[in-house]
Amino acid sequence: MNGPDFESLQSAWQRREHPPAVAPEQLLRQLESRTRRNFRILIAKTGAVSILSIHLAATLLRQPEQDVPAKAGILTLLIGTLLFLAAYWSIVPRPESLNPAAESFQFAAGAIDRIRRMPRRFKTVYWALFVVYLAGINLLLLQQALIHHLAATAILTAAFALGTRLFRLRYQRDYAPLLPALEDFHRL
Amino acid sequence: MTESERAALFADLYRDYQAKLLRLCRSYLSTDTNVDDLFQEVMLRVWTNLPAFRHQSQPGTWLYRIAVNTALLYRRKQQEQQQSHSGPSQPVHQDHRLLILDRLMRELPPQDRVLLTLYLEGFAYKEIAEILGISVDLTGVRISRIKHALEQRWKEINSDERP
Repeated sequence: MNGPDFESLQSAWQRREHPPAVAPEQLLRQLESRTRRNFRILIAKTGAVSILSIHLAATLLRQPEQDVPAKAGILTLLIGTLLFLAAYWSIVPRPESLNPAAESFQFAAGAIDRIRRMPRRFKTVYWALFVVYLAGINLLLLQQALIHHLAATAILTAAFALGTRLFRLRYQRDYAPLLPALEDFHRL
Repeated sequence: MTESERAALFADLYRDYQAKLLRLCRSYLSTDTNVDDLFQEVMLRVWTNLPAFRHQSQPGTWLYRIAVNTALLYRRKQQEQQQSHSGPSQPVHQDHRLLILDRLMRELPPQDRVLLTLYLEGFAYKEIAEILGISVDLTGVRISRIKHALEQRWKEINSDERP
């Protein structure tokens, strides 16, 4: 029994037509709408961070001149939030940040490296943020009773534990499953 | 590049490569599920990276790199797993040999499916090597191995189907 004739298989393959998904103009409209949607999400996230930052900055300005610990606390929270966001954006592997037009072998190597380092980098950044927030909140509450410090620390710890768990779930769902195919590809 | 030049170039590339890129998306995913979504992801990257395209490489090489790289980082959408197989990306003609080929391709790992697809599209080993960033020799060796494995499985399938 003969195997396939690869030359005729090649021509059959190349003749294989898929119905055009959409006309180019329609696809462009879809892409523009997708880009707009992504942009709106970005704007919403930026807006949320800006509101938080403005609120923190306004609170900072409202503080009495002599309340240095509160000012230092708010400033710490503000800087911590902005640094965390900047670091987080650099951690998440996206085709845009890996040059999608690069040679695929090189692209796969970059993606593997990012995905493998992602949990460790996230952990480092997240712990740094936790410490900064803890310091900021406790500075802010410096004049308050001990119970306020304990409550704030407990809430913050719970929020960070939840955040870590969410990150782990998202990593297991979205990024870890990409590794086997990328590694196989890189072993070519 | 003006917006109208960009749109015109995009339309040209889309017209010339749409069917080829759909075939690549379909063979990479090894099912019809999510093909259109992956294809749209690829075209989105093409659109956004078009201003950076300087014709240093062939349009085909550039497009296939984007397609393969997007596929490598593509996260399948679970909610579409139940999607009907009569979706818009279903091939129009179902040649019996291609049905066997589809079945055998599903047995291959993704990287071999990419290599085989590029070979079936008629790319020379040198061009495949340029797209993937591996040596020409390695490309030749891998494709020979894939073809050999396919031949074996093809014979097995044919002997199983004989009355």
